[in-house]
Amino acid sequence: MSLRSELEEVLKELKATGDIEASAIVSRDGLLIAADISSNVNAEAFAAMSATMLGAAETAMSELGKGLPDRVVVESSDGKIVATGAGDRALLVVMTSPKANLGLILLQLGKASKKVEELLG
Amino acid sequence: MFDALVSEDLRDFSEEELDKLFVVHEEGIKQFLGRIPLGCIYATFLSGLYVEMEKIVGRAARGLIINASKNRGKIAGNAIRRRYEKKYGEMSVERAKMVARNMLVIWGKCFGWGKMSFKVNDTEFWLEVEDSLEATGFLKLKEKPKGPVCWMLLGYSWGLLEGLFNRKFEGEEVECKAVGGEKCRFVFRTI
Repeated sequence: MSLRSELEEVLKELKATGDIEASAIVSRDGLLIAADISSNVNAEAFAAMSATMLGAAETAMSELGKGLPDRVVVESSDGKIVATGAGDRALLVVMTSPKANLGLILLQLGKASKKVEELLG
Repeated sequence: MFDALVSEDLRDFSEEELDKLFVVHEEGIKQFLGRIPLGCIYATFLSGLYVEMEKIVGRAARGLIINASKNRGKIAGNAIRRRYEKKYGEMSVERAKMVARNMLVIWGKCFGWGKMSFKVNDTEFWLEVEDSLEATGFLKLKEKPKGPVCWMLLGYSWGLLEGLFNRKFEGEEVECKAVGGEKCRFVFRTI
């Protein structure tokens, strides 16, 4: 199984937990590695924006002397976006339905990000 | 102007010849293709801009610049292909390769982005740049990059190819003068 297939498998398992509408594995510099996103979303722009959100949050937190953020959560009435680090080279980002259980999503996201980190070495 | 872009192989044209063909000087303003104003920036300003962006959003600055440049390159490629097809009919693969080379020759010789050379086969497009504007800028800064830095050229060329060929490519800068390479080398592969 190729690395990309293994990463796509991680995203599939994540989606199976329910309430996850889209997900992506993105390099820390904002380039798309793997995605499970509908074709009407620009996956490359989604990747760049996710890395930018997390990067900007890291700068803001470290400027304030509060360490590095574990994740960035964006909530709106139509859904949530959660971006979290997956090792030094990548990050994992999901888009959920508005009624998603954030606690459960974060738990699954933590497990998935560890897998991504292992796969990317 | 457009006819020369899509019908002549411009690789051996001098800077002066290209300037005469594509750049109109009017009331102190230079215009590419007779309608797009041109200006100059110094290389260290461009690379300094990247350094400042990295201070704000970290490594994501690279993806932002590449992505944005790719989108604009794709718009340019699509526009050229559509204009060509309206006038001459379907653009062949060979024609698309030539137009892509021509656009990058113009970027190199008229816009000062470095001396460019090309190798093309059925599935890969290789671009080599001597004295890339972006890499040269970084070499003159005290901040040292950790990886290849020709983000705008990578993104623009990548998008240009996708627009001209009307298909997806994978693109990468595999060697960069700013991090010790002999020159800057890019590869674009069809997916």
